[in-house]
Amino acid sequence: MTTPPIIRIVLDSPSGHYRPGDRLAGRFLVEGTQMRTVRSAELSVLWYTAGKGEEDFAVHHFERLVDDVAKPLDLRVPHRFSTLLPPSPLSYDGQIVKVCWCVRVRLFMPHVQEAAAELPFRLGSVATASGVAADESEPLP
Amino acid sequence: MALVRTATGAMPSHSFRELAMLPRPRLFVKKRGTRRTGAPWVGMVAEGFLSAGLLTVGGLGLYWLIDHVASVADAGRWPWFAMLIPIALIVYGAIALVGVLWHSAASTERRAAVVQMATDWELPGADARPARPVLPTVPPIDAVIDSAGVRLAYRLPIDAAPGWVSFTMAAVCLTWNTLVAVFVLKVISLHRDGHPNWLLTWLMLPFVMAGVWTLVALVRQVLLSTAIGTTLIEVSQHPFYLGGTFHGFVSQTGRLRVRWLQVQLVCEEQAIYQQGTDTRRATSRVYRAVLLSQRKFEIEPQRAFEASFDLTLPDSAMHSFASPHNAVMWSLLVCGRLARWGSFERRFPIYVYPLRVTALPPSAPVTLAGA
Repeated sequence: MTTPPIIRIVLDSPSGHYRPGDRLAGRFLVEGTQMRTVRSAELSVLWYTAGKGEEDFAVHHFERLVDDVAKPLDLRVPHRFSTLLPPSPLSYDGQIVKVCWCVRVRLFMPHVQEAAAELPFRLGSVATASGVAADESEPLP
Repeated sequence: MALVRTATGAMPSHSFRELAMLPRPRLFVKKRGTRRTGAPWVGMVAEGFLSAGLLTVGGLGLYWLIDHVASVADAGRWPWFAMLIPIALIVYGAIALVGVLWHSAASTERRAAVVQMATDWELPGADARPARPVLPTVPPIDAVIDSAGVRLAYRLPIDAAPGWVSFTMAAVCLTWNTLVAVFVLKVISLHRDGHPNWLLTWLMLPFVMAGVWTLVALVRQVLLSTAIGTTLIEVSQHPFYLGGTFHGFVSQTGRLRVRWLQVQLVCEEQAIYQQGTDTRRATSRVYRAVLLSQRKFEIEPQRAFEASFDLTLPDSAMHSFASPHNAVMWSLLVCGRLARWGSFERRFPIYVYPLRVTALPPSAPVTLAGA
């Protein structure tokens, strides 16, 4: 049985906090001493929603690396990525809606269907939302 | 630190024991929201076969029709019109087949990136640069700022939802009472002819009562809409931005004895989700600030209630956000309780940007490398 590879994603900013318009940069690699046969690798910087609703998501930055006879794809060597972050949507931890940003790496291999790893980060500094009581508005007589 | 998640591994070969342990294929699977108990590839294969089948049937049908036109001397016009059916099958089947192949060949992220790139293309003749800054997932403000105010810069449009409630109630009332009236007329004619059907007469009673109830509810809704009068909200600036302070103005007309009236700034989250085969909508209020509060006063037709207020948006709150199934919506709410009419609430949507418009960083389109 082929074991799934261990994918390591590292951001240049150790805190993982970014402001809109900041440059997000980092690198990813596959850990191990032996070179794995990978048909292609995809790196995405994306946001997705979580919570009660159906998931929505959008890709902000996408890179695809393909294994080639002339240029074999060796993922033991760190691959750098970099992108300018957009002004919105900001990361948000609400009551029923959450907006999460992450860097996701997906590997497509001949014998294991695919392997994926993701590293979350925060865009902006929106506070966690708390609910409001339904009958709070009516003033006392 | 990276979280590693591995999808289902497709092994190159299975031993006999492994094959024996595989779950039996099930004819019926249970759908749990968007999740299913069956394997997703089975559905994809079935969809592929269905699309290929439609394509084949369409191709054979088109071949037969062309052959018919070519071989029969006076085939008439009908084969040409009938060709629309196989052509429709071919187009539908081909699009569906390409969709299935693309779905199975490309990852979710790759498909999303390609779709995003396609939407960013500039169409010939279309203005590439919008007049106002456009932020991803923040709704455009054009619908809100097309009406100039009298006291302040912009007059906010009212949320159309109550109007739709009145329209729906009117449609239900009209349909129901028309259907009931047909049966009532039939019952009355039977009574007139001296052949009364008492079972039908008594059975009609709950339906007539329901019709009267829809009529009363509709009249009350219309009276409530007209008697309360017009509510106007004007604001000094739009869009709003987090941490900013703005001015507002409210006006309420009508002949009303008001027990209390408030202007509130509210933020609500909205989530649309599937429950079984139903589509449901959940709302959660996450922020509320009372901007203006007045108690026990009267509004005369010649003398509208008018008041100014200030509103400050918290700097650590979430901006307006809209995606297909999720949203964060800000609005100004005029609500209160009236002596004869009870509670009322009128909503004016506003849009909150993450930061001041002049300081927006450039909105970079999606970047693809080697896709």
